[in-house]
Amino acid sequence: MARIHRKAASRLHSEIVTRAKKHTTDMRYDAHSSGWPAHLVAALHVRVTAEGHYRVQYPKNLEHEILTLEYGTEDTPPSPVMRNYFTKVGS
Amino acid sequence: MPFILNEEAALKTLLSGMTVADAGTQSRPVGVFYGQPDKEIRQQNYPYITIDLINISEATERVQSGTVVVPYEPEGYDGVSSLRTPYPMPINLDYQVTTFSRQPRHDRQILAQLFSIGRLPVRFGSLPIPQDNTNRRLETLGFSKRDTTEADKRLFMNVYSIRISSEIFRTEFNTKDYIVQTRNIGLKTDTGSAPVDPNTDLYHLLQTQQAQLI
Repeated sequence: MARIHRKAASRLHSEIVTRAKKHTTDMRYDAHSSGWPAHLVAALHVRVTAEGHYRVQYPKNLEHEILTLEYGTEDTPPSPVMRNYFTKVGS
Repeated sequence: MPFILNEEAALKTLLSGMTVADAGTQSRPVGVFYGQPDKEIRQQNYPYITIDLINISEATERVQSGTVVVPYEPEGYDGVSSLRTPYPMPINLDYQVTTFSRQPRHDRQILAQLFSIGRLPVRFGSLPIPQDNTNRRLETLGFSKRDTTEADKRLFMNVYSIRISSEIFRTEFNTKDYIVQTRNIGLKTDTGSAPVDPNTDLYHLLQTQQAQLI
């Protein structure tokens, strides 16, 4: 019985990892299409939390640059890659 | 046919008319602009709000097929054509509403006014559009606090992501009514046109016609 549970858990984990990889690739594609710089595109990773939620992860030192692009500033319009991606995936 | 102008005008109206107070001025108006206003304008007008269209997507959960008599006069309607049309394509218009202010007191007052019913509440939001006499759904998708420092000055920023429901029509409303049409596909045979078997489906008829053309 325990062996079956381990197998199921392993399969679930592998599925989650596969999905997260696919979402990472798709989101990076969207970011690239929206004109985000290459170093920020490469920094985006989609992770699946233990509760089953999707989260975008990026290095702390790039947070300001990424959020500035995502939400815009007084001088630059927003380029919302992360929000639009999850809207698309959720619909 | 335009479909977005009325919504944007209504959103601007919804956000307009707010004022903030401080020690210097009892009633300072909060400006509302589309996109990024010129630097000269905004420096004279803190606090202010900007509206940016950030996404247009199909609202698949509202899709219907068939025909309908539209119960309102959509944008671009000429006033005389028939309102019977195939069901419009439902879409979502996503906007980012950003507020900018230099004083924390202004920031909090704007927040309080924007989250109230009638502006951008987290629930029960609606957008009245007087041009076509409709009330659209207005959903708050998210909120983010983005305070920052700009040239050694504090800048209080709030970002709202909102969604407004809309529709795109497939017709231009240029026909008075729908006319029942009969399809008459004449198949050429050695002896001239053959009568079309009513049981033959369109796909096979087209295939036969294509073969004859070759």
